[in-house]
Amino acid sequence: MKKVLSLILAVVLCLGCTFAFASCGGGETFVSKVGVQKGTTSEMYANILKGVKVASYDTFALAANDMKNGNVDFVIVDKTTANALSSQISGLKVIDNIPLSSENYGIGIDPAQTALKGQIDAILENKAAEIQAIKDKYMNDDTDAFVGVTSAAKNVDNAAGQLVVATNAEFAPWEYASGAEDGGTVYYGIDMEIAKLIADELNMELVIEDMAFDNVVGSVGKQGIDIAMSGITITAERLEVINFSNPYYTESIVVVCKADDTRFDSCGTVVDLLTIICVASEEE
Amino acid sequence: MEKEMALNDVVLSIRGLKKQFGNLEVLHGIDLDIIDGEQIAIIGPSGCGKSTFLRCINCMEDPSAGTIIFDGENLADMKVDINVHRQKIGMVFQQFNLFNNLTVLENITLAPITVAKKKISRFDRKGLAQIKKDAEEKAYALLRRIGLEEKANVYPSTLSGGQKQRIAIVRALAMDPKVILFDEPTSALDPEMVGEVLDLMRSLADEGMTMVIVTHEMGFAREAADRILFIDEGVIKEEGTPAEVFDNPQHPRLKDFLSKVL
Amino acid sequence: MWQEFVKQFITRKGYVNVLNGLAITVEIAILGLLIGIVIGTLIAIVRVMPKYKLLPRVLDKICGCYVELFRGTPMVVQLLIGYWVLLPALDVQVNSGVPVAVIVFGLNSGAYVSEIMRGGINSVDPGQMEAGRAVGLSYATTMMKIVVPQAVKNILPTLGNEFIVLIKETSVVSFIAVTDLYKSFKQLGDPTYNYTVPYLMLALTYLVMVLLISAGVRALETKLKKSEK
Repeated sequence: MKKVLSLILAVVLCLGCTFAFASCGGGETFVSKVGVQKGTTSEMYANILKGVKVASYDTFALAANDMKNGNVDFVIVDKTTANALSSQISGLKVIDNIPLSSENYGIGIDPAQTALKGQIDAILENKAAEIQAIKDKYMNDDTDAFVGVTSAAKNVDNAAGQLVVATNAEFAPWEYASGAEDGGTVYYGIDMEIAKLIADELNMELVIEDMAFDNVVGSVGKQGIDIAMSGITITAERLEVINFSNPYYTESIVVVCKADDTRFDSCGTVVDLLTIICVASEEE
Repeated sequence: MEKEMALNDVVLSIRGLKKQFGNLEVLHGIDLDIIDGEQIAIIGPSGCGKSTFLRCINCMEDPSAGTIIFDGENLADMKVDINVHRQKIGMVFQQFNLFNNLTVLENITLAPITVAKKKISRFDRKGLAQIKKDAEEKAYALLRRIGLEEKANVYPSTLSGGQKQRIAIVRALAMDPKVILFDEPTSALDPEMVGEVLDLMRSLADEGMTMVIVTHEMGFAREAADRILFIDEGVIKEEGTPAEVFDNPQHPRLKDFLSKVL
Repeated sequence: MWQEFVKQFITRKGYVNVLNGLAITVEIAILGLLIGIVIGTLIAIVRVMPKYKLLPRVLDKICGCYVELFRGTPMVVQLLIGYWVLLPALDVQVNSGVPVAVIVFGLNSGAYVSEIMRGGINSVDPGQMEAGRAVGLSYATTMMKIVVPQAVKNILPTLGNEFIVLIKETSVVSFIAVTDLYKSFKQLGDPTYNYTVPYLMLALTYLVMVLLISAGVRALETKLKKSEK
């Protein structure tokens, strides 16, 4: 018995070493190292770039700080967040005139609730002006106009009277928490104010379930969660699991680098950008 | 006449008792009747199986074969509720084994209270209080007897070996046992404390308590026991009154043993 | 940096969220540990029980699997599976993740406490069990009244450690939409993406809690030692 075990152990160790050597000495060389937030479309985008080593962080802010520390060359993030971030963290430069790609934010909807998508799409259409105003005030950092949103206590026995929204409230200006009112957390952000608007239109109480971003999409339809609003990009993969509303915002993915990094200054097109950050894939 | 009376008053009747540890048989078949009120001392060289035999009597070691009849039931039968019978078979250990987490008083009252509680409803508060009161009164009386009343509320770690062993004996007495088994009760004691423990045992013997004592104290065995068993190589090699065994030993092994210890 | 922290913490009443988060962290850790001690003690007793009969052997195997399962997977995975997989599969919806976290922490801690407790029980002189059995107490009664109390005294420092581990591990409950101490401090940095002060204060708060627990365990130990003199 012991002999068998030690044999297995030996084989495993050998295999482990082989893989370790393969990845160390391997043929792939990296042109650059890019920081992204875990579970975001930026991460997916970065992963398909050739010759790029992707480092995933819990938050954009961590990625940006790590770039300032010199551990990654640049960060790929959503444009809105990039701008919010660079106004708060000094020493960042957002290459926002050249979007790497653009993507549509949608509201994730429980596919089991067939009528809900129609209702939400109707509200997005009818209340387009209000929604635009919400977006504008956050984009322009019009702090005084922000309206805090509070969450009702979740009550699964009153599912019909409550709109339960999954979010990852660490994502200004889309959703974040700040302070308390009546003993409960107060939420701000574009998504939060739109969620409140939708709940009011549906004549429901708003319940905000703040969780890790990795769980937001998967949570829809579970534990009473009706919709997800967390700056979620509509993708084919996500559409397999949940429904989406019509897009309510078109977001670009942009590159953020250190303020003193001049490599991108002469870039005019996406191709210029990509030549700097990754390897062309013509060999394939 | 004497023999007939004796048969009627047998407390424990052991037949063909064997004990194996793995493949090693340490007891090869022991027969013994323990008569009410008698004191039996078991002597023999180290490793002869005398402690194992004693521990088989109340099934601290499960016998491999044989019967132990007590109160009309065979204790060697796994189906018998051994706990009920152990309440009436006291045991005193070489290492005292007082409950370290309980006070002296609690050491003595734990078993009586636990046993009595089982007989009444859990919600009978009055009954519970009465049980506790009775058990404590009895414990105090026993402590008074051994002159350790003032130690009732201390923990065992503060007591001397002699005090611990006397309290261990009192703990056994609190259950009103029909017989008490002593497993080398003085072997772990400092010499100056042996006397106080033997004095207590002697006074129990005088009161007619049935006792089975595994001991190295030959002087005590000769003076206090009614009957001496010499166990060697897993069998009873010789038994008889102290006078027979000590003054006129028959078996060469017993002669050899006595020549070494006396 | 400090101004922003003060603004979020005091002016905007972020401290309310922090206090709520603190309460939830402590609640999950304490209740989790209590459940863990109950489960762990039961498992430990099963595992040290004599194995002559079939039932103890079967129970021992089951408990062995339980311990390996919960020690062999990270707490966060157990939490995710419990809240997002198991409960939805059973068609159970809960209003709050806190009870789920308490149960998962309890089950997880039970596995660790059982090993700690097993060591504790084995460290108690076997003569204690023998003496209990010899006066006619059952195995279970002797275990609960004599052996386990002495075992607990022996393992108190290790149990204190387990509590500290639980306190620190509560930071994973944000995965199931529970706002604990970690999350509530993090929120203070979210509006500005500046986490320097919130993280330092968070570390300080954990540290103070752990120091308090350590001091409490030491005081309890001294008290128990004294009570048996």
